[in-house]
Amino acid sequence: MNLAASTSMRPAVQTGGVWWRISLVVCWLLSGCAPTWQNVRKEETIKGPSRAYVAVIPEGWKRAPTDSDVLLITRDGVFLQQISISRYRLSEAFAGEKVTADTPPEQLGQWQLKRFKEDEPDLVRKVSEESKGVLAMFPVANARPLSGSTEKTALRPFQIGGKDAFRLETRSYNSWGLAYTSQAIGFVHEDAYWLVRYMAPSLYFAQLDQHTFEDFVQKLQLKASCTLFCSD
Amino acid sequence: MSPVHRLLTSIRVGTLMVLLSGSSLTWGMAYAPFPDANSIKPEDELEERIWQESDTLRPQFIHASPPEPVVALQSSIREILVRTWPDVSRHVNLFVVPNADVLALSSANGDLILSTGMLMRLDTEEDVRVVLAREIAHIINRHAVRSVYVARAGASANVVFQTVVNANSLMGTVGMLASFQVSPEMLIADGGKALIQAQLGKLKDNMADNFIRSMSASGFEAMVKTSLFGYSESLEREADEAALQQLGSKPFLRVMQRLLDEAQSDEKPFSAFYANADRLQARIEQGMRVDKTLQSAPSTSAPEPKTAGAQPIVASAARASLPPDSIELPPAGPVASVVIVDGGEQAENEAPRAGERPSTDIRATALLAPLAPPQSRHYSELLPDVALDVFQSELELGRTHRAVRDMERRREGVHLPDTSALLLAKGCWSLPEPSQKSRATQLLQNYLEHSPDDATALKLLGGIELEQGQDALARTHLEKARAKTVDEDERGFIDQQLHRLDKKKASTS
Repeated sequence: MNLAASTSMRPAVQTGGVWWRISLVVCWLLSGCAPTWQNVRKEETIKGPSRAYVAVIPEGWKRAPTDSDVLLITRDGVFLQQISISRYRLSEAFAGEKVTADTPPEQLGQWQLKRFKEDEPDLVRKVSEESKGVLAMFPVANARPLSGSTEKTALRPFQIGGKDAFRLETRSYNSWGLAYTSQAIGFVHEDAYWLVRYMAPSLYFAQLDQHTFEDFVQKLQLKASCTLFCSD
Repeated sequence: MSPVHRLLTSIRVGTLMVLLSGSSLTWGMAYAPFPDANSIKPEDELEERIWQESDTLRPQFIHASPPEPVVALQSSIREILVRTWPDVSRHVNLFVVPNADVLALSSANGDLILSTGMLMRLDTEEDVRVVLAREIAHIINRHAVRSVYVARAGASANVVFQTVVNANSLMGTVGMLASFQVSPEMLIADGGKALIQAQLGKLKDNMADNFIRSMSASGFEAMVKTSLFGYSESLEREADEAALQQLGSKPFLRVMQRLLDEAQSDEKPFSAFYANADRLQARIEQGMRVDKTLQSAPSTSAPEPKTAGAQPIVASAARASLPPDSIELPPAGPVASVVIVDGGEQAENEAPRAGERPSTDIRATALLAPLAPPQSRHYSELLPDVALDVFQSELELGRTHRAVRDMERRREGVHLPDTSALLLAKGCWSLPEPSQKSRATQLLQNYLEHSPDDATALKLLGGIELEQGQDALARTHLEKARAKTVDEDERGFIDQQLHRLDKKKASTS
């Protein structure tokens, strides 16, 4: 009897809860907070929250919704072409390495290459993955990522906004064997390590927007960071 | 439910679980090794799918056309393969990939992939044969398909076990009844039949789901990748035994000990089979056991490496299928083509003789298409051509201890390029020990004594001096390097270093 009583009461409470939640979601959607890719109809200038750079986003591209200094833009989709700006604190830029404003860019480039190799998802197998599914049948101790397929095609000196930098060109392959070209420009600016990167499939797409990336880099301005009472 | 009932249920389901696992394992056992080279092909639908999947996964390892030195090495190893396993080699697609990781893997379809990183640890042809023998044993013993069965057995047992655990823990609770849409009234009315039906239905779904998952591409992908990370220990032991039987324990132990030493010195242990210290230790123990057995048996000495004529089952079976009077051609020898020239036509390049009656003639032309073109250079002569790339990659990956050890190791018959001293200096400089840092400077100074104008060495030394605060010396070496280098990018990086020195000078003055 007690059971019947409790089950008969439950639906009323649940219905009320559901309506309350639906109305909240509707309000949130109507308020325009939903993070969506932003279409850039006309060439647009953007400053990161720390005002450490001014970038010009090309016409017809889309910008990922971020509220940090990270910028990610694409025209047809991130797997077809992407230009990004990433910012790392000097202490967190490369694990186990001490990065300062005086670190030679060539050295930064070598560390960056190492990170690209380590971050590659293909062939990566972590310890956690070995504890479940089919892989659990073949436990391997001390599992770490393999080097993957990233290979350096060029490491060159570069200058961006009057700062010494490196330009690292790499090629990597996804799990279907499709080759990707990456061009990364790295430098230390305003107590942070910055990486400006262009990545696209080597087949057709890499060449297609090469000039867009060159324009983007040329127009990129580095500034003293400012978070309060900025003149601009 | 009383504890006795629970116990009985557990026993029943446990038995079912064991039966399921057992049947699957038995099927796995049914995949006997291929008896001869001609039998190396998929036998059923499952094996065919694994072969197809292996074909699909090949691009993960083999990307573009490899550089010339890698192609030359590949041909050289192909020759070793053909010489040692003439019959099996027809079914093995050998690839050498330019990758600094210590990799050797084989797929069900006969793909056998060796990395240049692995080859830098195999100094002689005998060393290469040890790794090839293990990988060929994986292919011949059909370890890929057997692994699928073992995995399936394990996975299905796991599903049954999980279901039983869930059922036991939920049994008798209202939550469970609600989740199966079974009211207490139904349970009372039909004696629990509906509940059992629901439970069995869920079990069936789980089993079906698990079966589909184990047949899915990702399941097979895991299987194929398993050859990279190593098969189960029993299958690996089987491969060890095959290699030990064919080549003896001496080369086997030498190679495994070398790989183990390097794996232990690596600051970034990784899971590829031939770089895993624990599993290499197991290989060595296996080799030692065989060694002891051979020593304790007085009549048999340690087997010598065998040549093409004395190969196992596979070679003898292939020969047995030939007609008794047939001539067996050597695998890498010249191939003759027989041409019957009709007497009515004038043979090419033959002057007509007056009064001579035309006759049918049989001629042989030789050396048209050798099966395996002989290499002009020996395997160990080809190694130095890929050495620098491997060392460079290892340093780039931060495997500095491993790289330094590999560069320092003396190799019989292998002469590393002089410039490897520069990479060794670079490696020593990256190591944290102060003694290694001073060694780096010493190595560069020694190198510059006999190559004083080497821009790379000068730049490296200048960079180290700059780090050490020896600005004057750094400037001298960097400026000299700038003057000597012909590479524009190198000059650009030297300019960046000099720019840094200028800034430092300006700030101190």
